[in-house]
Amino acid sequence: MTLNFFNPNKKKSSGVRRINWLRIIVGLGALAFLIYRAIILITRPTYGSVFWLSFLNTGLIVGGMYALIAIGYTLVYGVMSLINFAHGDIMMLGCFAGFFTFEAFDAWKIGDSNFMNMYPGLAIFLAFLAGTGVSMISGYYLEKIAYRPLRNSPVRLAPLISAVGASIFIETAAQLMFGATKKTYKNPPLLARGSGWNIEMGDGMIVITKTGVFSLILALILMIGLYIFVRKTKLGKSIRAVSQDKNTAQLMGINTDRVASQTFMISGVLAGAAGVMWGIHNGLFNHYVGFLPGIKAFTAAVLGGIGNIPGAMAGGMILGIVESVGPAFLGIDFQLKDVIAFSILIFVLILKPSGLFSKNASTQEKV
Amino acid sequence: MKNTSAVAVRKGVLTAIILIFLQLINMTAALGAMLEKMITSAKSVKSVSPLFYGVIVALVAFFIAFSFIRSLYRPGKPKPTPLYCLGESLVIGLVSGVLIAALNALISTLNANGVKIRTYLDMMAPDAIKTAAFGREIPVMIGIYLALTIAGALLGGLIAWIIKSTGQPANAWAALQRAIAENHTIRFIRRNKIVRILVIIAILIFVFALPFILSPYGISILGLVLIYAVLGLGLNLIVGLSGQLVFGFVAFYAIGAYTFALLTAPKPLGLEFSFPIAFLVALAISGLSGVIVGLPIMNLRGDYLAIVTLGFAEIIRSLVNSNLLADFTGGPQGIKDIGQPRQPGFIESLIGKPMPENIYFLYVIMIFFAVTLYIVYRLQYSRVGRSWEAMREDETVAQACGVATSYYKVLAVIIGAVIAGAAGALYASRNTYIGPGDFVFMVSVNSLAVIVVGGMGSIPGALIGAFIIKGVPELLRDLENYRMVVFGVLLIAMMIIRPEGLLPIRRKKIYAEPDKDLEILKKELKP
Repeated sequence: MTLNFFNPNKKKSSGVRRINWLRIIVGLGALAFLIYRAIILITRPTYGSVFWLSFLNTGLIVGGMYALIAIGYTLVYGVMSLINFAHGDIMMLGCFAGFFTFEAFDAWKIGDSNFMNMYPGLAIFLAFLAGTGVSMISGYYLEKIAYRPLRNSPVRLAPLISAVGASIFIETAAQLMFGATKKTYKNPPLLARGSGWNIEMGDGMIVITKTGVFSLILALILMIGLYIFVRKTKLGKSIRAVSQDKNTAQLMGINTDRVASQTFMISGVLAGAAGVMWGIHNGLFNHYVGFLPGIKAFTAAVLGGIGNIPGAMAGGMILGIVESVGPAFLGIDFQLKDVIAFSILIFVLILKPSGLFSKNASTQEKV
Repeated sequence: MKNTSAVAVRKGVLTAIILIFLQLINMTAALGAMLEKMITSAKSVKSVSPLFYGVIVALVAFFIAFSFIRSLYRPGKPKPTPLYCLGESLVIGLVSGVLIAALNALISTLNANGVKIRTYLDMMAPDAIKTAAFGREIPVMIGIYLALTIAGALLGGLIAWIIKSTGQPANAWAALQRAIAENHTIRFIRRNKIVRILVIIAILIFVFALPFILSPYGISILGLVLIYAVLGLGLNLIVGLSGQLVFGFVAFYAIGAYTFALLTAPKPLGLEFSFPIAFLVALAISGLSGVIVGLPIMNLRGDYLAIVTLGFAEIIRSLVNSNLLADFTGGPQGIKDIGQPRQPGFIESLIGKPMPENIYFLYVIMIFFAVTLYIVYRLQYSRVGRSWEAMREDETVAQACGVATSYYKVLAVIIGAVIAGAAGALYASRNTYIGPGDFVFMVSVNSLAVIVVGGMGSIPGALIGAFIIKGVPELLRDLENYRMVVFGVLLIAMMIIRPEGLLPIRRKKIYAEPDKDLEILKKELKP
């Protein structure tokens, strides 16, 4: 009987819902600590409202990128029940593709100016096209080479280990090819980094950068577009069907292999767009750029309930905001924002493993 | 037949992609240099000679053509004629040769025009471009590339055809094995108990003498391999036996190492405990961390567990690295002057002088490895081990059979954590310095790779895996930069070709033989 303390998820046939003491203790403890911090912050304010708003601003921008990457995880998990561990590295490839496009346009002299200065809008569009295209193709081949042969593998861990292998391969190959030094994005003048609008507030000033606004708007457009795509088109319908029940979908004449590779391509497109955004907004990047955003986006996908597309979007935004507001709220060093992100992951999985936004957790328990 | 020609063109493109990739990461030259070193037995090769560079290019085409022609022999299909095989190989060689030559012509032209390729492609220094062009003019270079790939592909196709049409090496190998199996002397030696004991004693003597035979470099590599083998044995309990995928194994390793370091080092805390006490405390603390991690995660399965433990490891690393705990853990600077075990007095009285430090420490590691091996072996074949295996195969069935799955899951994590803590403490003591850089995500991946390569749940597999993952790259120092690339490909290929590992665990198979069993039953039931 004592073991029931360890065993909160087991459904008893009697239908009596057991009280999960571990969850309650952890949840109440976390809540008490948050209230304690809030009281301290209200009684002894360390940051003005301007700071909080600028943290929120940073969080929204990063959150948009997390959301785009998280959608990729959620889509792939829904269709193949696989954590695409190399997803962050696909984002990194998109980042590199955008970088090389901008470099090429910068070097392309037209008269006494160059292509980037003359057609900045076109340059940005083509950079995104290159980034999404490269990520899409690499996503397609990733699925074909590393995952498809393992679809019916007898070893349960085989696809995940293969995914880790793919991740290591892409990362080190990029490091060897392009070098380990950090590179800087050359932005077109339209989206110069750091330029933006300064908004005067009571006791300070918030800087809203052009790159940030651009990234957030583009991320929102892509998310809405994806949502409509998944809801309205035939491919979206088959993706939803496969993620609900693979066998039945197959019986209904859906080619699940093709749906899987198309899902990888879609998630590659979103990751590539996030990669180019990352480069445009943050500037510095190297082959390692995809690792942390990848894991954090997975956290976001879990936060929203994996397999749930609107959940992944909301989860990404929430994670971005919490990560940038959290250190100030908890009164700790800003170095530790990664710790906050991963702690959220652990807390969510302890408290509500099906995610914050899952509706029918009982029928679709994926943990 | 038209269909296979299209496949041949695709294989040619594949060959070209592999060649281009190898050239862009400059691996062709590194492989060539390694080959040159092996054949000419030169001490060090500064720049590879064109001959060996070309051999590597040809070898790639050789292997692709070889495997392609072999794949043409399928049951139910007509056997391809030799001329046809050669034709297909020619297509592969031609396509790949044209593509790789085109790339090199492009790069050489750009280089000649003064474009600094190196700013974008890190490995494409002017020297490397020159080597790839065989130091010749562009038209000559194109000819050389075409000749190399075509020759390689034709040779590969020819050999594949010979092997397949004569079936020779396979048949000879089978005959040899049959002969060995039927030979009475060999069978006697194999079955004899005395011979077996003698072999074990010889191995023990060899192992005991090993630290004195090896060079200091060999001793340090063997120590590292054994530490990784201990780590692999610990992870084997969690992943291989109980079937929980833990990705953040480095967290326990780091906790063991840091506990040991803080207790013995003079700097941040100034405790300077002796080795055994600090070691035991390190084990206890890492076991405690196993409880803390194990309790909340035991309801998670598979992929979720992997990511949560990965997050836990990243939390530990960020905390160790941060300024928040810098006064306590040394922050990014790490901890220096970590204590080492003192030699007991009898060694000195036995051999007359104190044993060299590194040799003594290798013995310490060996003893810990042996102890871990014993514990893990006993666990695996105990009630606990069987419960773990049952849980891994099917959790629901195990539960129905009365296995308290949650308890055993947490137990596996705790024991694994203690073993990892021991490995961490040994590592800290061996290096006398640790920092946050020693406990990156790659350590988790490496220890997972140890058991994946060796075979999940297999104890000898962990040792073999540790040797392959940590020992072989040290031996192939020329390929140091490329080992992670090779490793990534190896992981994928291994999962596809041999997912059970190199030395998979042999399970006793119990079959019901209806006719025979029924006879036995009838006999036994007779009054």
